[in-house]
Order: sequence, then structure tokens, then C-alpha cells
Amino acid sequence: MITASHIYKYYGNNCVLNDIGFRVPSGSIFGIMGANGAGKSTLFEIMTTLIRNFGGDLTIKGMDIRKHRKDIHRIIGYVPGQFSLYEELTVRENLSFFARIYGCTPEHIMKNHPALWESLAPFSDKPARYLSGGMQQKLAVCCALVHNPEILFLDEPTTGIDPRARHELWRELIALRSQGVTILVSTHYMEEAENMDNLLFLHLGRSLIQASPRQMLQEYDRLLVSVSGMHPYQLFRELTGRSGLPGCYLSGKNVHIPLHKDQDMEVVREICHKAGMANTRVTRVQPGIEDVLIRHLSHDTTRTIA
Amino acid sequence: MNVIYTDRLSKHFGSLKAVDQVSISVGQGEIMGLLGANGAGKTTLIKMLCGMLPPTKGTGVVAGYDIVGQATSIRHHIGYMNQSVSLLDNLRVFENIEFYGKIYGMNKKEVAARWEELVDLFKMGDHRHKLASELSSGWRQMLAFVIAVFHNPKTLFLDEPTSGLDPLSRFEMWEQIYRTAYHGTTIVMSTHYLSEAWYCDHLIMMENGRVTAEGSPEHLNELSGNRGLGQLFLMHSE
Repeated sequence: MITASHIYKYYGNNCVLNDIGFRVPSGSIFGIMGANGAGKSTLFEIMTTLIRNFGGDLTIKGMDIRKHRKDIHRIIGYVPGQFSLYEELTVRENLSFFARIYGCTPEHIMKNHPALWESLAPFSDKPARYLSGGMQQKLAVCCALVHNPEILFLDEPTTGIDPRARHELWRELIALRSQGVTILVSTHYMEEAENMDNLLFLHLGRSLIQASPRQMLQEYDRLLVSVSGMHPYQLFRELTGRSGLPGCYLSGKNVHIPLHKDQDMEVVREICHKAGMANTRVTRVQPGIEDVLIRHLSHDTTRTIA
Repeated sequence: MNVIYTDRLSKHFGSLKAVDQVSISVGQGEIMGLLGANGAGKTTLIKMLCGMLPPTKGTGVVAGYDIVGQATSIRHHIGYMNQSVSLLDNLRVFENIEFYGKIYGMNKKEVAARWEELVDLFKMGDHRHKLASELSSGWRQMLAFVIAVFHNPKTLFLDEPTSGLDPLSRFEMWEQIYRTAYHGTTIVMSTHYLSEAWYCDHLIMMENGRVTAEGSPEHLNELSGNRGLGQLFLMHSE
């Protein structure tokens, strides 16, 4: 559905997107993750034709984004990172406004996405500014869907809204996927990665890793060991810089050590024993998405805190 | 020893009970996480504990000071870092530090000594002469954290300290949070990352101004039937 290759974007000498390429199959959820400043929003603005000056090729449904802007507008919907509806207008008025732009009616949305509309309907005469953050996002999604787009772009739709509203928004997105809508969504909540079919992780404008969440976990190339049982900081200080260990990091209350595959976790037990850390527990654990990303981030020689 | 203690603390705005009879206690060096939907009362509670907002009813003690009668003293003994990082963009990193040092009532010598103490711990050496506006968002947040702990506060309030960071920067921020707690500072933080709620010693879940669940992450997970903190969140924010 979407094919991007060798995408570059410079602001002056500052390279904000550096050779990005990916493919998004139709009817899937494609996640774009990364810290603030990683390049996520710039990539969204390119894909939604708002930024026209960039390097590389991008096609949507076979159409070149530079040559077919108008046609592409008809098949995409966009929920930008900043709330951009009319705060003074009511829920219904916002919907009508966006529907008219596309030459359709708000009834479209009520009919085509009844579940989404159902939760908004009780507020239909309320000005958008009085809605909660979660409800505002739902309204933004509704407005982006009025013309029944085949592709929906959402730039950090769950930032700043609470876990319950996030859960509900994701339920809607998963329902849209089952109706065949292709979804591109950015987030920095790791726990949302599990909802995605494919994941692109951007770091300082470059593609750090790209795969399905399951593939990422399967391809983890270390033996991950977790140490617990002391104050996390004490544990971390004791284990940092030990010879024989390839490094360690705090993962919550535990210290994670990504041992090489040919190492035995007895190494860690021995070190703990010698250091007089009698009450520590050393266990093998399955990596999570965060462990995978940390592995790739620490590979990255140009890495700094982003 | 409890560093923070409240008894039926309440804040009403007209008919709205933003915080309604909240009684909590947090021990020294503990990390307490506040969870709850937007509008549940987390920020109002934090503001009262910081001495920034007088309660309507109830009492509370923070770092040995009464939050009603000794609000000014509280403000001298706490650190506070909120989501909209308030750095001075046109000043260099070290100038930001000097500026806040002065606000904390430290003299030049004290500021320099404390900076020397912290600069390596926070790996800030390379950034000393950079303008705050030149820092990446991760370093900005780290600098805001340095400023919040610069005067060695006994109690530290953090409002979503890791929001927007990549995983490695988040873990580095947690390293600093744990280090600060290990040295005896009590920490109260709010977070929307449920995975990070697990990192706290003690959790308080709020809804409509009231505490709906409280305890260690493990205990709260049990309350959810071991289905995760997210599930508990859904149960409690109906």
C-alpha cells in the first residue's frame, strides 16, 4: 500500500531523516516509534503531502506522492499530533465541517463507524474544547474518517491521554484494521507495540530497527539475565563495569545483563557471590521490546541520549 | 519514618471535589507512583504537597513541615520537575544551573561545589557550555532533573519525568531516580507508563479525587487477579 525508499529530509545542514525505507502492506497497522526529535512527525508530514521538499521516493497505492497529491488526498485521513479541530464548534459541527470539505455528510461516519460514533454521541452538542483528551482524539479520528479513507495516519494519538482512553482508542484502531483500513501510527508507549503488525524504530533520523514485534523478540541475539534482590541502585552500581560482563542496565527494579549466547549465567552468580551480594537472585528472562531496542541503541556508535 | 503524611486532605473547587479525603504516608527513600486518569486529582494533590495550593480541608506534613502553616518552608526543602521543562533557553547549561542555584539561595562557591559533585554522575561534562536550546529533548529532561535535585531536597516531586524519551534514556533517567532515592530522598511521581508503575515501591491509584487502590505494584497486580496493572486501571476508571 505504501512504499518508501531512501527518504531524506534536511533542515539546513541538519539531517532529520536519513535514508529511511519501508513498505506497509494494505490492511495492516504500521507503528513508528522513537524519542521526541527522532523524526516521526517529519515523516508523517511527508507521507501526508504536507512537506513536498524531500529526497527519495514515496508511493501510496502505486501513486507517486509528488505527482498525484490530489488523488492521494482522497484516500488518506490524517490525525496530526497537535489537536487541530475547531474548539469552539460542537462535536457535530466539527464533523459536518470536515464532511462538507470532502462533499459528504456526517451521517456517513455514524453509519460506517457506529462503535466510534456511539461513544461520542452523548457529547454531540458540546464544544470540542470541553471534551476530555481521550474524547478529543476520538473526535479527531472521526473527522479524519468522514470520507472513508483507505489509509489513516495518526501522529502520537495517545500521548498525554490516560491508559483507559488509550485502551479504547486502540480498540477502535484494531476494529478499523479489520475493516481493511491501513493504519500508520506513532507512539512512544512501548506497551502499544504489541498492537502493531510492523514496527519502525527511528533514532536521530535513522532507521534503527524494522520488523514485526514478534520477529524482533525472536531475533534477539543475547542470553538475557536478570538480577534482583537489593536496592536497584546498589545492584546497578555493583554490577556496572565488572569484567566478564558485557554491560548492564537498570530495567525497573532489576538489573538486566545481556550475556553473549556462549556465556553461562553462572558467571553472573559467581560475580554476585564474590561481591558478597548474598541475597541476590539471578534468573534467565525473556526479552521485551525495550530490551531489543536497548540492544540496538547500544550497538549504535553515534548514540547519545536523544 | 514517614516523610510525607496526609490526613483526609481535600481540595474543592466550587462543587468539584478535585481531591477528596486523601490519607497517605510515604516513608523516607520510598518512590511513590501516582496513577489515575487525566482529571483524577493527581496534579492537585501534588500541588498541595508542594505547598503551592492550600487545601480546603484536612492536614498534611511534608519533610517535617505543615503544608498549611509552613508552605514557604516546604518549598525550600523540595525539588519539583514538571512536564513543561522550565529551562532558560538563551542561557548555557551552566548558567541555568547558576540561575537556579541562586533561586535556591546558594552562593557561587556552593553552586560550583555541587556541580562538581553531579557533573560526572549525570554525564553532563560535554554539555556545560551549550545553550539550553541546543540540547536534545532527552538532555533537556536530564538537565531539568539535575536542577530539581541541585539543592539536595529531602522530597522530590516528578510529573511524568520520562515522557517522550527513548528506552535507553528512560532507563538512564530511572538510574538517576533510583540513585536519588537510595541516598534517602523521598520521591513522588506521576506516570502514564504502566510499565514504569512497576518500578515504584508504592502505588496510589486515584479516581474522581479519591484513592481507589493502594499498595506495592505486586499487591495491586494481585488485586487485578494477576492480569496486570492495566487491567486494574480499567476496573477502577469506569
